[in-house]
Amino acid sequence: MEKSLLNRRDRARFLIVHPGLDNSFHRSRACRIAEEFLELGLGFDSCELARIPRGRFDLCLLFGLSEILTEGETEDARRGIESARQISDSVLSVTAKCVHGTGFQAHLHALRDLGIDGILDLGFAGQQEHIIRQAGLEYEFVFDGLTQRQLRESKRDDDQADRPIPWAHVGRQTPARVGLTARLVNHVSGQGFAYLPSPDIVSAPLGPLQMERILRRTQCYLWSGDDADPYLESERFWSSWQAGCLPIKIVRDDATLPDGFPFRSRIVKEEEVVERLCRLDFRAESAAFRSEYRGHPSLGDGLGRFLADRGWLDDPAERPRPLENRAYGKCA
Amino acid sequence: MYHDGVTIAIPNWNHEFFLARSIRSGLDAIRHLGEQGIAGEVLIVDDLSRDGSRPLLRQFEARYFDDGLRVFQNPTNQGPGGSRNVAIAQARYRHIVFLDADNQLVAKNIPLFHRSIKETDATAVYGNLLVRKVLRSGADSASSNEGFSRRMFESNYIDTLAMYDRSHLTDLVGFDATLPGLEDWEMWLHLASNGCRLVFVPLVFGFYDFLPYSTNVSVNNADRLMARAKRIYDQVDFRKHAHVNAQGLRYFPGVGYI
Repeated sequence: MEKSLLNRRDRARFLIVHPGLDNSFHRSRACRIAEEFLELGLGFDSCELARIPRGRFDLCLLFGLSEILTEGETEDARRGIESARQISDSVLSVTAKCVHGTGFQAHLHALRDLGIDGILDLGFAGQQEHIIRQAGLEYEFVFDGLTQRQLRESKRDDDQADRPIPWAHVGRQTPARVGLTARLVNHVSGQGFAYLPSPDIVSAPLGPLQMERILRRTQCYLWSGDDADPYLESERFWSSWQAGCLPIKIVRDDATLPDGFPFRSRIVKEEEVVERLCRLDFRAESAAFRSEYRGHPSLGDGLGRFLADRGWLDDPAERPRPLENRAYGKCA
Repeated sequence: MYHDGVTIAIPNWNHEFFLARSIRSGLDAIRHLGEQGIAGEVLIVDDLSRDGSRPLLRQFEARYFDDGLRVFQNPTNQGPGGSRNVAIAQARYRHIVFLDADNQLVAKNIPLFHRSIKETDATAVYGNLLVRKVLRSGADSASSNEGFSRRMFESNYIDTLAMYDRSHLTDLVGFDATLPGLEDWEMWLHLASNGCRLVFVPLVFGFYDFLPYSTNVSVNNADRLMARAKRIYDQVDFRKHAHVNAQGLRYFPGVGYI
């Protein structure tokens, strides 16, 4: 699918390139960026990697690059990336990953090999020190807040009775995750959703649409990272927001959280998860989570700041907004 | 012929020290089924055990007969596949769960698996099996944790602990009783090759205790059995191109296919 919109401001031109898989988190991320471009009054082209359009662009944003390069069709993917590079003044790979996570080094190598200019890091906390040290690539951090659409559609039923699934624990199978699942079954409730595929995953992964169907019936969405860093996977938070459930990021018992880390009340040490779920006050915690989320910058605010810093947009603080209700947004 | 309800079938061969636990979880399961108006029974098929299982089972049957426990003693050793076939023949109800005597159900989830198999009209539904080492309380790996895929024709990741439609198993003549092991894997391939719907439900079905000297671990001719399965189900390496009805089916009660 391909779509083009005239750049209403007749200034900078943007290109959004996604992997082309219908039900993937990369496509969801690309759609969120596209939505916010529209909210900011910016035109853009969007396309799949195999269908790079003609033209000239100031900025190209590539989604799902590491997966594209590791899941076959590598030559076609390389050709697509090369095409995007030739028609764009700047090409950034959009990532939402912990820099210490599995495969990130390979991602950096791939970026260097392909001549990508840098990384646009969507997340809740900047990682630039690590990135700069490791790769010397350009680095931009954008707070992965809620979109205007998500804020508009924020009214959710908080009735716990409509959520018969007490917990959903999702992640690749590891001994720690299996052990936690056993404790949840034995001490919280056996009726949770447990999806722990093997590392050599053999069936199609759960996509965002499937996850949303589960999470709309779930009280708590649990996940943990593979490493010691308390990285917050922002898509799990906005998935929870959309579905009306509570996110709980599980961190190792020895993890330390840096000052200023958002959503601290949603981060739980592994040994405390069972107790936390046993004394869950869903309605109160849900209200607190949604209130905190609204208080953080929106995705549009973060993108606007980034584009303004690059000179592709007027200072977002001084320009008229397409929506009236912006009271919840504040740029750091 | 097939009454609506669930038979928890426990084939036993020298698992005296684990029987109390598996039977308890089976009785708990039929109690939860009963709370939802679903009939159930626990059927133990003892395969001529030589440890203390048989007198123990007689005592259990006397104590819990009114709660739905029945014991069937094989007159000769039938092997794991044969014992399961006896259970298929002796069961009262349409749906049957095969619970090995050394494993344990998450009893409260059995009504959800029953709901899933009825809503999907599947031949079998299965869920996560958390694997723990004997005498340890925590689990550290999981099997039966994904939808059916063609990889099953190369190696097994789905345990027999599942809920089956007994009428389908009967039509397909049950387990291969001639196999000394890997009969569970062979059964999944048999069902998939015959177009059956096999559905993964991402709940925890039960706990699997990994024991030394278990039947499958001690099978000393596994290579020969795997070669036999290859001969039957994928002799010309064509299976990866063939349609499999069961491919990737995932279902969650109250949500639907996912």
